[in-house]
Amino acid sequence: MYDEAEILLDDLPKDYMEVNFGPHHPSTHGVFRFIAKIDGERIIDIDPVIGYLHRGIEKIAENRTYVQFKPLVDRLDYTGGLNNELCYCLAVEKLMDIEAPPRAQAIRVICAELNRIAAHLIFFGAMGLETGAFTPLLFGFLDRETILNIFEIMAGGRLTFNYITIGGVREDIRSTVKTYFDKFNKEFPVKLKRYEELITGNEIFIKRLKNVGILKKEDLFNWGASGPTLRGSGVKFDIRKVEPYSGYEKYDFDIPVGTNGDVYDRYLVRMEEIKQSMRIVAQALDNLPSGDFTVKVPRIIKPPEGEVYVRNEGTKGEIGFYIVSKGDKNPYRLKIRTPSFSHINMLNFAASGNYIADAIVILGSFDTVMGSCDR
Amino acid sequence: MEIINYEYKKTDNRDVIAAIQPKAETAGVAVKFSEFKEQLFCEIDSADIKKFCSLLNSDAELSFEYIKFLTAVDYVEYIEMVYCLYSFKNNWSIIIKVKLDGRKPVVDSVCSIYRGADWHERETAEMFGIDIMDHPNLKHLLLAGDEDGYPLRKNFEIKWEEREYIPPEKFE
Amino acid sequence: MVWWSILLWALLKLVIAFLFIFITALILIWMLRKIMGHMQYRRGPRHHGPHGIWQTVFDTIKLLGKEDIIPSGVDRWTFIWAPMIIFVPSLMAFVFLPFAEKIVATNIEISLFFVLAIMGLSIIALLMAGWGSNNKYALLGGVRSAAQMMSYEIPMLISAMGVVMMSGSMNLSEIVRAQQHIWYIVPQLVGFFIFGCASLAEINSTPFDIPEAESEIVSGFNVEYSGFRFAAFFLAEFVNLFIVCALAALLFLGGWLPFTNPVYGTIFFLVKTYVLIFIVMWIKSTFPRFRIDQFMNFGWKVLLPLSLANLFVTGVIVLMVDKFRGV
Repeated sequence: MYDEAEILLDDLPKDYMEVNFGPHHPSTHGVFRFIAKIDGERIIDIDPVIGYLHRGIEKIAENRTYVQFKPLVDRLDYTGGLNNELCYCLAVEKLMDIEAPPRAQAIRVICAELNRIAAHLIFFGAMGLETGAFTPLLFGFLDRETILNIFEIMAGGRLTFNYITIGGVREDIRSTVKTYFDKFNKEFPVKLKRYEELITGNEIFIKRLKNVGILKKEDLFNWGASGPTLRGSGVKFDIRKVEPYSGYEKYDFDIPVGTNGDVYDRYLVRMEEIKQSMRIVAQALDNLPSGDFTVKVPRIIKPPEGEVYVRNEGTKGEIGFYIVSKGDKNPYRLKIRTPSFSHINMLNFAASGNYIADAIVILGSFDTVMGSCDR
Repeated sequence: MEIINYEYKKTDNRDVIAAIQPKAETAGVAVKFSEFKEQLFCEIDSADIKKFCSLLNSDAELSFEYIKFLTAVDYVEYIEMVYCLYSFKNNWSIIIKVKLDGRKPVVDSVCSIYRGADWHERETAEMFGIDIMDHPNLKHLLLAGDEDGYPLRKNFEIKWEEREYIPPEKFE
Repeated sequence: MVWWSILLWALLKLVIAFLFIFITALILIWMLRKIMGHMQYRRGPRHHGPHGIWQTVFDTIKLLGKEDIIPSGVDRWTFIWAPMIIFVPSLMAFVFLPFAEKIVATNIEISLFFVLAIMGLSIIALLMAGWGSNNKYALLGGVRSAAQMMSYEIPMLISAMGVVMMSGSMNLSEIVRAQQHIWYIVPQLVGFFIFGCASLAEINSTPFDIPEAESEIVSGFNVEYSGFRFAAFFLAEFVNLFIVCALAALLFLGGWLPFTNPVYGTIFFLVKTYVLIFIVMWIKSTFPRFRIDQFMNFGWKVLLPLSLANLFVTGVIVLMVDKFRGV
C-alpha cells in the first residue's frame, strides 16, 4: 500500500503539492472535486472535475413526454426548483403558442421570487460557513424553513414541487398564503437586519471577502457568467428586466449592481436581491388578478415543429431550455443551459493564484449547485 | 454596491440582420437568416464558424460578447451545431447554426474567442462524438469514458442492464 | 519523608489532576454545545439528564468504545503517540495552577514561566499528528498550527511579562497576592487584550482556528483520527481552553481574590474562569475565521509591537513608581 503511494508520487512534478478537494468536501457544495496544485498556501492551478452527479437528464428528456419530464426539472438546481419549472414551462408554452392567464402568471412570479429568497438564504449561510462562522448557516436555514412552509401550503412540496404546469399552475393559490407571507414580511426584515449586523458588518468577514477574487466584467462576458455573479462586477443585466417574462414588467423592483467585482460585492448583491424579491412578492400578492389559474391544454402535449430557446433569471444566473420539437410527444432534443456549469468552468481563471482559503470563498461566491452543473 | 432601476427597449430582429449582413459580406461569410417565434437564426457554413464568431465578438458595434451555450442536435443524416450568442450592448440575441457531416463531424473550436465555450465544447464532443479542432483540452467532462457510442446521438441504445449483486468480501 | 510516600503523593496528585481535567473537559464540551445552541436558536443537547448534561459523557464513552483504526500508510509511531503526547502539556500545566490560597498541587518559584513553557510543547503533538497521518490535509493543518503557535507564543509571553514586572514574581500565587489592591486588568488592559488574542490562537479557537479550518482543510491534523485517539485531541482542546482561561483569571482578574478562604476562593476563581470561557465560546459562535496571511500579519505586525510597547511602558512606570517611593 505504502509502496504504491510512493510510485504515484514519483509521477508528480516535485515542485508543487497536489491536493484533492472533494468529491466529499464540506465546502464544495455537493459532489464536486477539484485538484489544486498548491505552493505552500497559494493555489497555482485548479483542475475541476465534474460529472459525479451526471444523470443524463437531456437523454431522459428525449424518451419522455413533455409532461413526464417536468418533475425532473426540479432536480437540476434543487435550491431553486420553481425557477427551473417556470423556465421549462415557458419554453414549452412558447413552442405551443400558449400564454398562461394573468392570475397564473402572478402566482408563478410569487413562486419564483420566494424560491429565490430561499436559495439566497442558503447562500448566506454557506458563505458564513465558508469563512468559518457556523451560526449564519442555521439562521439562514431557519428563515428558509418559513418559506418552505409557505411552499408546502401552496404546492404541497418543500424541495421538489411539480407545481407550475404547462399552461398555468397546478392548483389555485390559497388565501392562507397571504397571511403567512404577511407575517413573514413583517418579521423577516428585522431578522435580516440582525443577521447583517452579525455577519455583513463583521470586520473579519469584510476582511476575508473584500478585494478577493476580483473579476472584471469584460472577462465575465467571455466566460458566460450570469446572474448575481455578473451583476456583482457591475453589469446592469437582469433577464427579468431585459426580456421580461411572466409579467415581470408589471412589478416595481430594482437591480443591485456591484462596483468592485469582488466576493463581497457578490455577497451584497445577493443580500439586496432578497429584499427586492420580498418587494415583488408583496406586490404580486396585493394585486393578485382574478380569473383562471390555468388555461386548457390538450391532454397529450404535441408542440408543432420548431425550436425555441427560453431563458429566465434563475437563482444563480441564467437558466435556459433549448427545445427542438419535431411534432412528437417527446422533445427531439432538449438542452439545458445552467449557470453553475458556466461558473465552475471559470473557477480556474477566478481562483488560481489565490490562497486556499480564498479559493474556497470564491467558489462559494458563485453559489454553484452540482445538480444543475452535471445535469 | 449601487441599486439601479432601468428599462430595456425591445429590439427588432430586422435591426440585427441589417447590422450583421454587410459586415459578414465583407468578411466573406455567407449567412442565411431565418426567424422563428421572434428568435433570429443564422445558418452558415461549418468552415466559417470561427471567422464569423470572431467578427461578432470583436466588432465594436455588434459586440456579441456573451455566449449563452453551444450544443449540437443529431438529425441522423447530419449533425447541427447550435451557438447561442448575446450582445449586452444592444440586447441582441442570435442563434447560429452550422451543419456538420453525420458520419464524420468536424468543427473548429471557438474556445479562443469565447472562453466560456470550453466546457460546452468538451461536453458536446463527448456526447455527440464531434471532433472539435484546436481545442486546448478535449478530455472527458461528464462521462467516465467507458460507454460505447455517444449518448446523445439518436443511434445510442439505452440498455437496461440487470447487474448481479456481488456481496462485498468479508472484512478480515 | 520516605521515598514511597513521595511517589504515592505525586501519583495521587496526578490522578486528581487527571480526573479534574477530564471532568472539566466534559463540562466544557457540554457547555459549548449548549451555549452555541442557544445562540443559534437551537436548544443543544437535552435528552440525557437535566438539560442533557450526560450527553458528552455518553459521547465520550461511545468514542472510547469505538474500533481503533490505524490507517495503512501512516507513520505508525508518530500517529499512535501524538494523541498521548497532546495530553502531557495540559496535564503538567494543570499541576501548577493555584486554585486558592495554598490550594495548589505543586508550588514552585517560577510556575508562570513553567506553565507557559509547557503549553508551547503541544506544537510537537500537533506536528506529529499532522506528519504521521500521511494525509495532505493533516500535513497542512500540522504546519499551519506550528506556524501559528510559534508566532503567537511570543506576544503571549511578553504580555505576561508585564504582569510579572508589576508583581515582581513569577510564582502564580505571588502574582495573585500582588493584586490585593487592584486587579491587573486595569493597569494592564492592553496586556490583557494581547494575552487574550494570543491565547485564542494558542488553543486554535475561532477566529484563529486556521489549523482545523473545516471549510478548507476539513479538520486539519485530526482528519485521520477516530475513536479514543480522536477523543484525546478533542478533550485536550477543551482542557487547553480551561488552562488558558484560568491563567488569564490568575494573571489579570486577581485569581481567587478578594476571598482568602480556600472554599470561597476556589469557587470565585472558577467563576472567573468560566466567565472567560463563556466569552471565548461566545466568540466561537459569532466570528468568522481569519485567512492565514492576515493572521500572521496580525501576530507579527500588530500584537508583537503592541506587546513590546506595553512591556516598555510598564517597565518605565514600574521604575518611576519605585523611584518615587524611594525603594
